[in-house]
This record gives sequence, structure tokens and C-alpha cells, in this order.
Amino acid sequence: MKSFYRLFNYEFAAMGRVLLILCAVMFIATWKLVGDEIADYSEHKVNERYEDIYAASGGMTLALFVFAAFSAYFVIRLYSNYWGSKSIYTLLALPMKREALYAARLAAFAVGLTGLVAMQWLCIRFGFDLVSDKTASYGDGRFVMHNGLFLAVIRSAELRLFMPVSAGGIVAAIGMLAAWTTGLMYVVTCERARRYWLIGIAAVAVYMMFRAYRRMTDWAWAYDLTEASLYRNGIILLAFAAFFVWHSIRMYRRGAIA
Amino acid sequence: MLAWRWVKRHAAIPALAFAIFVVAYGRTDLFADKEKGTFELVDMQGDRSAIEDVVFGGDLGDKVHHTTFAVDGGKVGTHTVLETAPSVDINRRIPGFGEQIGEWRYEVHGAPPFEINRYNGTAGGTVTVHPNITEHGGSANSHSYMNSLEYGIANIGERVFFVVPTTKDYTGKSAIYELDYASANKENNYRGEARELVPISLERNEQADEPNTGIQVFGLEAVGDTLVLLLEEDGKLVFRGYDSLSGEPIGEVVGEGLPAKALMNDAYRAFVDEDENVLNVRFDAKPAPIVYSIGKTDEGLKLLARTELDQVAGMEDRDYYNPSIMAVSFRNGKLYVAKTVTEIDEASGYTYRLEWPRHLFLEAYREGSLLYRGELRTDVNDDSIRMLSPIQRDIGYSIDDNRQFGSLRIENPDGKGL
Repeated sequence: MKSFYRLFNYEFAAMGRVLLILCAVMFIATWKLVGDEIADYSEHKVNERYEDIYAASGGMTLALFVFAAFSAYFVIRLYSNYWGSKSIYTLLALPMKREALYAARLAAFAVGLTGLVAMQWLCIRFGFDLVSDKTASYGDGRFVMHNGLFLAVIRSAELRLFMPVSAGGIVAAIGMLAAWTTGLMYVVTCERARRYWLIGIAAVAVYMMFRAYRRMTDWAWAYDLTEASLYRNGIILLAFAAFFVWHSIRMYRRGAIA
Repeated sequence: MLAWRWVKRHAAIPALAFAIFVVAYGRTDLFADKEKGTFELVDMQGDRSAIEDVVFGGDLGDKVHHTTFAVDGGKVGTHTVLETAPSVDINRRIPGFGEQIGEWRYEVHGAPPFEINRYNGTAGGTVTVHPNITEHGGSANSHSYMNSLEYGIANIGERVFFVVPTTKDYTGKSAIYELDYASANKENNYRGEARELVPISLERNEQADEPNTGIQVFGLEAVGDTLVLLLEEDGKLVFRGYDSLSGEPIGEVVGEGLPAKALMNDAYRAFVDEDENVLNVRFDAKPAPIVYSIGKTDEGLKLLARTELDQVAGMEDRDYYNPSIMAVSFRNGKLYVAKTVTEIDEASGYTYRLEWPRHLFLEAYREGSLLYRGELRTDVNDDSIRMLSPIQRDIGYSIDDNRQFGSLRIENPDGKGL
């Protein structure tokens, strides 16, 4: 446990610099993007709703890029153990269980992604303040959407990805995050273990993530059906994550990643 | 330097805790806002105590949420529900789209004979009625009626009734029919039977050239177990009651003081207070709409009040593009009205009339005069901010994305609250 804790913090701190840079990039770029989007807003222009401003500014696209970039960085870090000094042999020779190595890497990655989710929420929040300050500055306040952030989140299919409205939405969102984190590591593990065909399972998980995403964003009039479907998709994704963890640990134990 | 080393060795869990805190707190904070929409009663005229003996209730919502509000004892309470299908309950008939009664949608087709269809998505049935009537001046393909044919449908619980809203040009014998949908099944091709309950003679229409002679039928309504036939008879507005089982007449009320011209073209709406056995009928007369409140008592029908609704200049409850959503109720000797009005302002900056600001008025009348009017202020018009612009690319209006009022109701307080 102690060695896990130590390695977990080591891995996290090693990624910390890139994580901080990505957070800063996301925050500043969102500020700039939203700011540019509303730069010419006045009482003589069409004042869109915040959720539409945020989508049109590219804030959401940027967030997905940042998530992809952090994931890519994590994968590169995993592979860098096999390059140059081949530090993987040192890691495997450490006096600790190999599943601790797996768990430490996975946990560090998961904490990083959770941090990015939190950062994205802060971006959405501060972006809203930016917009509401601007719209309050002209037209005697006629252009202010009262309670606008709440309305934006519940009305926007994309914003509710980061701030799910219902319990089923939360399960689905956690399932997606878990499946992405464990799946990415599973793919790398399979590749290292030269068991390429198993990557197909991860591909199925990706498909399930898209399904969950569609359920979250393309909700219909039948909320109880949507809610049941979100639970179902979320639980399936969590099951995938559990399988990925179990099988990855098996491969780590057997030293298949050497 | 030491601090940096500590961070390097122990940062992960505090970082995770902080991230989870940001998201969890953000979520709690955000959804605590759900009751923060504006719902505020602003007095416009009279004293608020006039509405303190009833509850005005309703919904304001879009596709993703709705707020149920209640003005109870003059105080406003709200309760917001997320992700529930909104109550699309627009209290009006849309010509050509039939009429919704309970779970069933009714449509009337044809010239005599008439087919009255009903369906609810999984089941349906048809009842055909054959009134022996002829329209003078009509042709095989074109007939005129006082109102759209669905005005002739009324229900008492599961029992359904129909009358043809004939004009003065019809002669012959019409009737109020009871439609038996229960007997519609697969064997008879889902066709139910009709029973003639009350015969209506249109004989007087043969002398229709004489002014103020003849019968025209506006529609059929029901209060308690009584059917109320709305007629223009010899130039007068008549509400005639019939027992729904025997078809026996049980008295009538003559509505004085209504210009006959106001009565054409879907120009009335009926509101029933089931608990008080009162039928309120609002006619779109000019200059002001008139509400007749008719009570059903043991002696028959009784006119409780005739109220001309007070109008506020520039606040239109008859705008074609923004049909008013309303509730009308007579109780405690007072007439209560809740209605949405459209702010008519050509200089408002809105491109489309559909987007003109809407307001919800709550009113109370006694003996025809206005006691109180207040506005329940809401954020409903914020949804149209996009349209408040001289340059407009597209309209894209949808009731999914724009809050609507619905399910307006006026009740006695039950002390339970929301």
C-alpha cells in the first residue's frame, strides 16, 4: 500500500506540470474564445443564449482536445518507459507488487482527468459570468437571462455532459470516465503483451461510450425511458471498466508487459 | 523547497479531493438555483385581499423543466421539477386538430351524416350520427357551422355527447346524441352506436328571413350531470339545461346583453368548476369579453353573474399569434380570472409578433366590477431575448426551448401547499 501511495504520487507529480499547463490553456483559451464570441454583442445584435454561445465559441471542442491531449501524453509516458533507458525494467524490479504499479499509473491518470473535468466546469462558470456581465452592460438589462447558468446547463445537451442533471446521467458520466481511463490503459497493456486482438474489446467499449453519449445528449420526451437507458449504459461501461482492470492486472502480474 | 517536496510526494489525493469538491459543490450550487426563477406577484389595481380566499396555480416550463407555482393567500410558492415532460395544456380548440378530452382526442368529420372519431394512440372508435338537417345555400362540398364541429362535443365522465353547431341556414331536425363508444369493438369494425337524447327542431329557421327569428347552436357543454346547450334563439343567447340521462329540459338561462356578431367563429371558451357546479362561458365580444357564470342548482340553471372583463390598453388577450392561456372560475361570489396577455408594442424591437412579451394577469371581479388585478412576474420573456434584435436571421421558435404557461387553475385552498 505504501509503495502504491508513493508511486501514485510520483506518477501524478510527474504529470503535474503538463496537467497544470493544460488547465491553464483550457481556462485562458475558453476565456478568449467566449470573449471573442461576444466581443461585438450589443443591443443591436442578436443575443444568443449562453449554451449556444459556449458551443459556438468552441469551448466544448477545446475541452475535448485538451482531454485528448492529456490522454495522449499519458500514453506517451507509458511508452517512454520502453524507450532509451528502458526504465520499465527498473519499475518491474521494484520491491512491490506489480498490480500496485498498474494501480498507481491508473489512479494518477484518473485524478488528472477528474481535474480536467473540474477545470472545464470552472471554465463554463466563468464563461457565463463573462457573458452575463457583458449583457448586463447595455439595453437596461433587457438582455440578461435570469438564472441563466442553471437554464443553460439543463437545456444544453453538451453542458450536461460535464454537469449531469439526473442520477442516471451521473452514473453514465462516471461510467464513461471510468471506461475511458481503464480502456486506454488496457489498450496499451494489450499492445505491450502482444495480444492485439483483445483491443477489439476496447473498441466495443468505445462504441458503448458513444451510445451513452447519445443517450445523454439526444434525450427525448420519455424521460423515464432515457433515465433507465442511462443507468443501463452507465452500468455496462462500469462493467467494461471492471473487466479492463481485472484483465490488465492479470497481464501485469504475469509480466506480460515487459 | 521543502513545500515543493511535500507537494511532489502527497499532491495526488488533495488534488483529487479538490477536483471532486469543485464538481460536487458546483452541482449542488447550480441545482440550488432551480427555485431562483422570478415568481413575484405585483399589484396593479385594487387590494390583494380579494384573491386571498383562492389558489391560483399553474405551470411554467419548457421541454427540460417546469415550475409549478401557486398563489395561495396572496403569497407565491414554487416547485421546480427537472426532466419531466411538460404539461402541454393549451386551453383552446385549434380548428382542424380536434379536441382533447381526458385521454381521448376527438375529431368530427363529414357533412350530415357526421362521423365522430376518437383515439388515444392505442385504441379508437367511430360513432356516426344522422341528423335530418339541410343547409340552405350550402353545396355538397361546402357547409358552414357556427363553430368548428368539435364545439358540439361534451362529456360527463365516460359518457360522450354531440350536437351539430348549426346556423340559421339549417332546417330539419337536429338532436343531442349520446355516443356509445363502449360498444365499438373489432366485430363491428370499431363502430359504436348513437342514441338520440334530445330532439332539436330547426323548424323556426324556415322563417329565417325575418330578423331575430331562428335557432343557431354554438355548442354543447356539461356541468355535473347536466348538459348545457348554447343557443342563439330569436336573437337571444340561451343556455338550456338537459338532464343527461332522461334528456328532460331542466330550465334555461337567457344571457342578456351580448352583441350577436360576437358569437361567430370559435368565439367562446367554457370553463367548468366541477366542485362548485358552475359553468363559466367566455365570449370574445367587443369591446370587452363577457363571462356568463351559470350555476346548476336543484331548481335548474341559474345565472350567477355576467361579467365584462376589464381590459388593459396594450395588453391583449385575444392576439391571434399568442392565444391567451386562461382559467376562469366562479366561487365565493366572485369571478376569478387568470390569463396570459400579449404586450402589444410595435416599437418593442421584436421582429415577430410571436415573440412579443407575455404577462400573466390574475383578476377578481364581484358583480361585474373589477376588485383586483395583479401580475405574476416571471422570467418567461427572457427566452425571447434572442429575438429582441433588429437583425434577425431566423426565427426557430419551438415550445421545446421556450417556456410556456400551462395548466392554469383556480381552486379553493386545500391547505396542503405545493
